Amino acid sequence: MTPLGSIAGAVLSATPWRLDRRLEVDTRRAALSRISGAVSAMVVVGILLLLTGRNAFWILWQALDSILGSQRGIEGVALRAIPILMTALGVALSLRMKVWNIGSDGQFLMGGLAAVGVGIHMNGPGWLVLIVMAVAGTLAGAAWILVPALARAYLDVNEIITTLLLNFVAFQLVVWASLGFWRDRESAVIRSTERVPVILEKIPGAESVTIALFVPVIIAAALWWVFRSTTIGYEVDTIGGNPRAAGFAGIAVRRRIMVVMLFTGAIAGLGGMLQLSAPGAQAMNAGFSAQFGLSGFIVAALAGASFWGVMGGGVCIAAMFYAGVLLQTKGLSVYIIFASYGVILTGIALGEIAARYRLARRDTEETGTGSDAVAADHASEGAGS
Amino acid sequence: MTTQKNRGLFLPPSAMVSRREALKMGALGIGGLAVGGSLLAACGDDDEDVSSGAKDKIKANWVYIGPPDDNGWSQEHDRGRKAVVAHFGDRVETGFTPDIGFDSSTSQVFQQLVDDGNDIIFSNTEYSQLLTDVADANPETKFCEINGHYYSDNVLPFYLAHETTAYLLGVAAGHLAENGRIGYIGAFPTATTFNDVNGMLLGARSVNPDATVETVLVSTFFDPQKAAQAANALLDTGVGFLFGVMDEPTFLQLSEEAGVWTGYWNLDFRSAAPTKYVNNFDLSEFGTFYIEQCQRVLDGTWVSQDDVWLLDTPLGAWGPNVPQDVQDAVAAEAARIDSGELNVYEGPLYDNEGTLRLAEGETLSSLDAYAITYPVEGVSGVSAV
Repeated sequence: MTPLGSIAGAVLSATPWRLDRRLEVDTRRAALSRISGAVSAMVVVGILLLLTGRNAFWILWQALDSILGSQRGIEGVALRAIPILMTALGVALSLRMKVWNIGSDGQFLMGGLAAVGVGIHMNGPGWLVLIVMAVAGTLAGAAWILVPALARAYLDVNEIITTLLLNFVAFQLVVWASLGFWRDRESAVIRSTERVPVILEKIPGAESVTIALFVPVIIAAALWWVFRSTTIGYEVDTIGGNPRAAGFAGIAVRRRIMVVMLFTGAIAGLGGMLQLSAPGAQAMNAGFSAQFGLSGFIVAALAGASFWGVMGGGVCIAAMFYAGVLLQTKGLSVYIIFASYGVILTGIALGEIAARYRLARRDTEETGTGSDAVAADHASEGAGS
Repeated sequence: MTTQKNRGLFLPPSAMVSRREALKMGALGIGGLAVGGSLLAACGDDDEDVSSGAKDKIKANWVYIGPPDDNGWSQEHDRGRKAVVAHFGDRVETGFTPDIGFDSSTSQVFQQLVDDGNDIIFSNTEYSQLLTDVADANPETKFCEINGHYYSDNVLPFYLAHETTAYLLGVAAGHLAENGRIGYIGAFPTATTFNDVNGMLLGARSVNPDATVETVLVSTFFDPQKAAQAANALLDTGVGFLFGVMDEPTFLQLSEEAGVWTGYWNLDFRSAAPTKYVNNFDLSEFGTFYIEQCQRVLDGTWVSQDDVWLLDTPLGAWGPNVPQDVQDAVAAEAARIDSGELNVYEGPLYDNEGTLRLAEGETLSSLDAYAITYPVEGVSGVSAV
């Protein structure tokens, strides 16, 4: 059962309808289903905009033009995509094992915080500072999920709550750092930490996009390879399928949970460091993470934990957010933009569900899979958590 | 990177009055610019780019931290923008961009506004490097950043001389709060907060030597829920007067319900606290300032300056239940401030950790107060930067 399938199944349990899992999911058809979900959602948004007296076609044109009309637009999307992709890849990795890391925002923030601490205190050649910052950010992200990982692996404590709550702790630490111990005191009014004097190298020809762009691509490729060709990947997938069975098969389940959870935190933490080292950022403040963790989680959930799906979906969502911000400068209200995000994401989610399930009435007889399959799925998840 | 420094142009309070006069004359279109220009020339400042040529039409945009109908801060700025529309008609094409927070997409908003061909951009909160990085990269576009602390040829910081207003409200609070305890809801530990709490404390102590100001900082200017939590906490401890820098009037309603005197930063909002309303800061100079800046851009005479442009901030109209003798007492103190007889900050003055900050006979001007870094003795809940 996919995460979305569970949610949709729960919603439908109050109706005479149920979801039947499709035995075979054709990837092309699944992609088509998601795209048609997005497109029909956009049509709904467009109709709502027209009904409220706004020119939906002009807005769409402005959105496309802001993204594709200039190099700045393309780079703007890339800049937004990097942090979203990093948190999304971390979450997608954890979802392979059916572990829900809701705390990637906190791990992202801690990665940035560790990197800023190194960056403002360390003297040395720029490249060395950046490497130490990257290591510190990665370790800080992993450290931030250490306790939830130990609790999940050895005490069976639900990681959803623990990782989620640590987001708020990380946020308060960032506020404290930016108003307290690492505050930029030069003018006593700036509400952020001091600025790190080094930034990553820009991609040749780019105005603002740095080599950070390659990092999520490399990580996605590495994860894809691990899950395609290595025993560890196979074991993690097996644990995701049925942890009890994996244990019977001799897989060190607890240790694998630890490793995977630490890696998911580490990737998000490195994402924080990359964000900090982008031109124009270079300091931490309360707005450092524009809900990047949450966006990453949405991407990973919609992509069904497929790493290349995460890459494509992450770029699309970054483009949507980028266009949304720029539409604000054209006088479109932020509430309309947020509502449109919601409708479009819901459309994609419905497309995803439609690709994997089909709707059936409860009273019809079914052969093969059916609600029993869904129930069995729930049971196995219950045993796993 | 240019940061705060004094490059010769220093405007004492007396010069500020003449500048304000100049501003009003400019608004009427009679030679205010000559006054302003000669004032600058007289100070021998030669590194400003003065002539970029007159224009028939210009484009201006306002970037707001909240919605333009927040019943407070952003609404007052939008009233200023509408004053520009009323004054110039179609010679100034105005637009506004609401709900802009403090994350990396904010820089993209400013960049887009530059790309859209805006000649001048006003911001109603301090975005610091999120704004100034874009300004540096686009020297042809003028920026007016409220409460800003970055000075360059195309960034003009402006703000309100509000420590005197807070002092006068503190005098009223000293009379009205029988227990002498004033509650204050602030956002961040910056000069804005220090000038509010210091002014109120010193004003209240001029009436009641035992007066105190208890501060709660909520790390946001616009979050009705957090403001309500802070207000309830302060009201529960029994403060006799509640004030705050919140952009919206939730805490006024809570004060009314608790039967506690209250006032507001942004505008006359007695409807939120019909019986306990005391007074508010009058921010109607925004319109005059915006008209002046647009006129200068139209004339090709816009220049930045090396010090913040402080707007006069009187008290507004009194609430219906404020006794006449309190109003008279405040009016008397206002007259002493206007005549220069009374300074808000007069030595000997200690901060709230016991350090002597101003020796006997020393005073702070409004420009000095703009950079203040400490709360005075008697203020709790916030400490020096």
